[in-house]
Amino acid sequence: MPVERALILALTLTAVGVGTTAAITRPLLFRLGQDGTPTASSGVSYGGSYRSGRWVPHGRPRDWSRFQGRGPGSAK
Amino acid sequence: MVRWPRWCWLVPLLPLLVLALSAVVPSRRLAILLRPEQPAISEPFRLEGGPLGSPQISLRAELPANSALELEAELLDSQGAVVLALTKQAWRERGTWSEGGESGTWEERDDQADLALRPPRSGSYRLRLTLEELLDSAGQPLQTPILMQVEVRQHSVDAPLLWFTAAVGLVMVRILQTSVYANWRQRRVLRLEDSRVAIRLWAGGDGLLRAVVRARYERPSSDRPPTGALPPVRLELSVAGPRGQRLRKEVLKLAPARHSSDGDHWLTVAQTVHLRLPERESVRVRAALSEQLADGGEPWAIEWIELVLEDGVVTPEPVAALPLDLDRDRA
Repeated sequence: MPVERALILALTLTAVGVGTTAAITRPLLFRLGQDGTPTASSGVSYGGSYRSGRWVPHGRPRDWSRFQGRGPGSAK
Repeated sequence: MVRWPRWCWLVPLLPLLVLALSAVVPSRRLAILLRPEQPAISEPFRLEGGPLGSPQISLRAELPANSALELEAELLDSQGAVVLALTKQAWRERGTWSEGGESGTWEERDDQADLALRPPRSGSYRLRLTLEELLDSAGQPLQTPILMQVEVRQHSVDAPLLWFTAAVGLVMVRILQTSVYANWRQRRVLRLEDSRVAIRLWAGGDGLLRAVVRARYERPSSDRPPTGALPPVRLELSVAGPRGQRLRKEVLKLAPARHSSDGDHWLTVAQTVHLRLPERESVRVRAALSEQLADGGEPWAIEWIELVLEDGVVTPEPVAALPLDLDRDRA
């Protein structure tokens, strides 16, 4: 088998193997205890974050009904 | 013939197989009924740690139409300590539309939160959910209890990465197959307004010599379509050696294909022949076709003939290659 074909085959197997393994093991997935917070999906905000392995809650505004926001309706 | 690259398309199926398997892995489902400002604690559920532990907790609120809520969710470990807290603002809106005499309903929602994380060690966890606020579209509080659907998966996979991996793998396999099956050492093409064509070239060795003959026939002065059955086209393909000695001669009968467009009518023929030359040698490939085809009307006359020679081709399937006996002449 010519070298270039062997190289393409090796690259193909490597790309599929590495991608599939990474998708299963998810090495970049947030681990409880590591600094920060997991990735937030739509409408999600975290009430704290990890610092030095400990979950540190932080305060947040409790009365959202008076929150003006920044949308077009709040333009002054 | 080389078969193995043909099966390489199975390689990109691996990430898709993982994706399909992940969809059928059983998950733990919990239903929690929430009342405004009354915290509720779920049943204990297990989260797996370790390299293969990639749990995903999905929270989905069954909201009434045109309402919004603010949900506080806390993940508790086996000792009851909060290990993660989040707030989800969910909403669901429904309305009607009318345009151009047609009408219908629309609905939009953002009522789900997915939490993917890896616990430091496998263990039992619980969720404490609190319905902080539930409002209608006018901003008035609602007292309706909300059913929360919780789904816990122990091994969530990175689906976008699997799709990306499959796409990249497919592209690379196509490149590999093209490099094997659509490749040749040399390629010669000659088209003549004649019924005969010949090419001499150095060919042979690994792979096959592929000869493709194409031609087009038209009626010289009329656009009359074919009448009845068309006679076969006679193709005489001959191969000569370095000193002009004949190595092979094949006579084939080709069925012409009919074509028409905007009142024009024409016929085409195409034939592919594979030849096997054990060693590199100067050979001359000649193709000759019938000059005319008679179908009862004005005879069809050949417009042009084209010969394509590709040396060193590899086929995915076995083909009937015609051997060229060069030793016969030397002996």
